[in-house]
Formats: sequence, structure tokens, C-alpha cells
Amino acid sequence: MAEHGHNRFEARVAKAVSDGFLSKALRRAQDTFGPKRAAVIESLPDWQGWRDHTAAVRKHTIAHLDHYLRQFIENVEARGARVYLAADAREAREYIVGLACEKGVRSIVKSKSMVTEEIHLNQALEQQGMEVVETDLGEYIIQLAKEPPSHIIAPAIHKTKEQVAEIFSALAGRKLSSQPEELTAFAREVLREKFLRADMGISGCNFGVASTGSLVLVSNEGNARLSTTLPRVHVAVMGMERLVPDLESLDPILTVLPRSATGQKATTYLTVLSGPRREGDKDGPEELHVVIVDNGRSGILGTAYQSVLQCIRCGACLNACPVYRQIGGHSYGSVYPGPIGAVLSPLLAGMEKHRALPFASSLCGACQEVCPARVPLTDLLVELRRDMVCRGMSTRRERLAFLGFGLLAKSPRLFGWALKGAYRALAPWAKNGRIERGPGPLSGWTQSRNFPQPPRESFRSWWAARKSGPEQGE
Amino acid sequence: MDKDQFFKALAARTGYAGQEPPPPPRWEAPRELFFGEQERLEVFIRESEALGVSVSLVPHEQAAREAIGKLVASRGYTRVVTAPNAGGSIDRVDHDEFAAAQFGLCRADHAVAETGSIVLETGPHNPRCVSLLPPVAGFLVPRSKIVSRVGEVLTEVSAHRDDLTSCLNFISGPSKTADIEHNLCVGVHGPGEVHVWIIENL
Ligand code: SF4
Repeated sequence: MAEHGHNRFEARVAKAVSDGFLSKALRRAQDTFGPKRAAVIESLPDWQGWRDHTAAVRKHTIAHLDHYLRQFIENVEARGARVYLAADAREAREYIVGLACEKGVRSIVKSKSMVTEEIHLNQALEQQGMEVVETDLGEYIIQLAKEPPSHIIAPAIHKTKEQVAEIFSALAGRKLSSQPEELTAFAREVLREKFLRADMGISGCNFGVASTGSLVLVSNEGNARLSTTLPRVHVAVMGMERLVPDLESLDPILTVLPRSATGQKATTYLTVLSGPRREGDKDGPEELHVVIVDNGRSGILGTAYQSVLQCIRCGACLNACPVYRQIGGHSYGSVYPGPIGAVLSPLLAGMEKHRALPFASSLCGACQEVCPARVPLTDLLVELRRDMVCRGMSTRRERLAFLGFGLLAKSPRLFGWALKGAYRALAPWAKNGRIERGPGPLSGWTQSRNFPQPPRESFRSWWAARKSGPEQGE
Repeated sequence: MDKDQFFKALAARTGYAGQEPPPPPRWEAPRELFFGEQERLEVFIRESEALGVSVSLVPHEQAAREAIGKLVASRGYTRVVTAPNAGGSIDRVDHDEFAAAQFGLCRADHAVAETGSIVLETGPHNPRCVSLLPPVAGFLVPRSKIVSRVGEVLTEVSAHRDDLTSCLNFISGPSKTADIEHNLCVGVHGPGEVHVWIIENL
């Protein structure tokens, strides 16, 4: 595993921001996802109400997680599936590897799952000589390129079509064009064969339904359906917080999830699996195993960070984050990138390991504003920073920056001056409100992106003026 | 791990040890999202077409069969799989044989207007592979089975949860991906072409 200290973080960021294509790809991703999401939300009556309800369902489930987890396990078992509760990544890996060995598995197809990335499952299976194939197109591309995902919804956004053509051509033994349609058709052909021959399918699980013991999977490509239908053994791996009380509770979640993730009203496929193949069924897996992974989650329960468990992994916070836009997913050095990763990674894998992440945010609040599950991401980031500073874990530079910020923030007058000063000081470099080539310390920043000109009227003075006016809704 | 120990620790953390939780929160979806009979049909057609689905409205099942026959003949399909619930008979599902089929036909158990979705309660009468392996999928949709929202299907399925299917599928349009530089490509793993025949008198 790579080292996750601050210096390594800075090195990864430096590499990312100097990558011209990556910067373009990240901008394009955000500029595609953002407006699509906005449009589809605009057309849905009462978006804020849907968010409230999603948050309420998730909050309720997490608050009673012991109850729902017990109920879920009982119902999954009652449907003839086997459940394994893994305390950590090692236990989960060992169970799945042991199971695959016991069943004489030689080839495995996987559909996209963040939690299997979290437990580093592929390497463990490959060490046993098994073939493990990622079948989500984006995951397949980066698996062939031997890279980790850079986005939780679009794992290969950092790859150009020419790079994909090169990777696939090497596999095909002939030159493929960089037409996305041709590349997609090639992947279909290769992967279809893998699906038909695989002994085991491994999937994630978007949600487990406690009252019915069902597994809910969403996908656009159909690979989740294939992985859970064709191989004789299906293993579903899920984070232990990913539950809902009952089928009805899925309504708001399924309403906000695809809209937030990709700007779709619904994903192409939504599959609700309840147990393995039944008597009379003519297809479907003979065996179903559900591996429920704790790996640090129960440690978050009952702490100030509990609300992070409300997350439904839609990726909207990545698409809204100005820091992610600049540095991309790999810079975070963790399985979960972006604002959700900056909160979740230190909590799951340890604050020491990911001590730079909570500082990789400008606290602008964009993530919190888009989050359909109302995870208070900014508050959690601030809480984490405070926690780390209390434990003496922040670096000198961070402390200095904080000290400066703290002094300014303590004196409202000084803070106001500093903001006004920034506007005046940068005015000569600004064009249409953007600063394209900044002076001195800003030049490093503006080499790869524009710096917004500090507003003439600061948020603080605007707020003060606004407060005397009528209250406005969200 | 020791399950009892684990749950004890968990219960201590949630602070609700051993207590039955209150009923889960419920919420009424806004009224504007529920359509009248005619509008439901129109919205379903509009949303399906927006997803790239070819939709035909036919007066009765016989008309649907004739239309399907014409499609199969005009395309020269020789390998077609038809689910028992759409008038076919399937003894066993051979994956290779289904993957080599050119067209798969089955009947929808529900349809959702808002999202243009077909809902299949797969099982002996409608094996999963019929709508999954062939590159072109066809669905018979009884008009009376079209509801406004996904929540209505969930409520209905939940009411019969004792005989819940092992695999419930909502299908909205053709299989698609945008993983290569955000270019939309259809048919990546599932069917890339979807046809729907809405049967008016059913
Ligand atoms: S934190 Fe919110 S916005 Fe981010 S992935 Fe989770 S649910 Fe989506």
C-alpha cells in the first residue's frame, strides 16, 4: 500500500494538476454531470422534500442499525442464502477466497463495487490463481490499465478514448479505432464470453432490505444482472450500513439516487434479488452468499460522525466539488475520493493514514448542498480537522494556515478587511471575474486553473445586509 | 467473529439496545406525480421513447403477435426465445443458446410511467435470461398495468412479499454506458434495442 502522508498527498496533487488531459476530463465530467443533474432535479416536484425523506429513512436505519442488521440477516438466511459477517477487510477477503477455493472456482466476473475495492479483494483472489474480471466498462478499462478507480460512478473518466483504444488493441491483437461505439462493442464481445464461462459472480449491494432480506442493485450496463444470473455462485459484498427497513423505504432513495448520480430519472436496470434460484426457476445462481463488512463502520456509530453513514454513494458531491475538479480522484490516495472520501477514508482506515484528506477541501459547502441524503459533509470535515488538531496530528503548515485564519475569524473587523483587501489586491489581474494569471503565490495555482476573483461584496457583508431584509427559503 | 458479541456492542453504540424501533418514516409523494389513466399512458410512451425504446400501441394481443411476427420476419430472425408468460415454452435455460438468440420476448408484470420502466417478476413463467442475453428485447405491456411511479410497484410487491420473486427487475430502456469520455453507447452488456407493445384491452 502506498503511504498516505501529507507529502505524498501533495505529490499526487502536483502530478494530477500538471496532467493536461486529466484536468480537461475532470472539467468535462463535472460540466456534464452538473447540468444534467440540475435539469432532472428541476423537473421533479419538491426536490427538497425528497431529500428530507431520503435523509429521514437513512437516519432512522442507522439509528437502529443493530435491529435492522439482525432482521436483514435472519431474512436473507430464511431465503436460503448464507450470510457472513466480517469484522474487517482481512476477514472478508479470507472468507471469500476460502469459499472460492472450496467451490473449485477458476474464473470470476465482478460488477462494480466500492466495498470490494475497500477490502482489496481482487489481488487476494488472483493470488490463488483465479481469474477476476471487472465487467463494468469503466472498471474493465482501468483493470487492464492496472489503475484504481478515480470516480465512484465513472471510474475511468481520467482515460482518453485513444488510451482505451490502445489498451483494447493490445488485448485484441489488432488495431481498434478510437470510436467509443467500436470499443464498447469489443468489450461486450470479450466480456460476454467471460460471463458465460465464470463459476462465480461477485457484486456489491446498493441496499439491503431488512424486512425481506433482499439485495438491491442498480446499473446501466446490465453487468450486475449478468454477474448475478449466470455463474452458479453469487457473492454479494456490502457495507454493513447499507440497509433500508423495507421495500417502501426505497421509494425516495430510488428517486434521488439516479438523479443525483448521473442526471437520470432511473438507471437502466434496478434489480431486487431475494435469495438464490428457487424451486421451479430455470436460471439464476444455485448459491447466494452475502458478505456484510464492518471494517470500521461500527466504530463510527454513536460518534459525532454517525451521519456519514447516511451516504447512498451517488457521487454528486464529487461532481460539485471544486477541489475534486482540480485534483481528481487519485490524488486522495484512498478508495473513496472527493468530499465523501475526505470524510469517510480517515474514519474507516484511520486518521493517521489519511490525515491530509480533511484539509483537501475549501469548505465551500457545495457538496453538502447537493447531497441527496443530507450528509453534513462540511460540518464533518470541520469536526475531523478539529479532532486531528486536538490529537496533535495536523502539520505545521496546516496549523499556521489555521492560526492565520483563526486570528482573522476571531476578529470580524480584521476578517472583513482581509476579504476586501483581497478584492482590491487582485483587481488588476482579473478579467470577467476570473483571474487567469495571478501574481506571486497565486501563479502556481493559476497555471492550471482560474482563480475566482474575490467578490467585491464579501459573503459576510452581503449576509449582514440580507439579514435585515425578508427571510428567503432555500 | 462472534455474532452475539458483535450485536451487543452494536446495540450499545446505537443506544437503542434491544428496543423495537418506531415504524420507518413514510412520506406521500407530491400529487403532481400521479397521473390519470390516459395521462399515464401518454407519459409512459413519452418517457420510453426518450430512452430510445420503440413503442407501439395495439388494440389486443392478437395484433401484438402479428406486429411481432412482422418484425421477426423483416429482420430475418431465426433464433427467438419467448417466455412462457408471452406464449412460449422453455424447458431449461441454456446460457449459450440464449446468448446466441437474436430476439427475446416476455410480458411485463407492471410498467412505470414516470421513468418509462418495464417491471418483470421473473420466475418459472419468465426466466431472467429472456430479457438479458439476446441483443434485442421485446415486451408485451398490458395497458392496465401501467402505474405512475416506482413507489406504487414497491408497495404492491411488498404487500405480497411472502411470494416475492427471487429476482425483480425494473428495466428502463436499452443497456447503456458513458464510460468512454462520456459518449453514450447502447447495448454494452444487456439488449441494445428495446421494443414495447402496449396492449390496449388488457
Ligand atoms: S455524501 Fe451525499 S453526495 Fe456524496 S456520495 Fe454520499 S450521498 Fe452522494
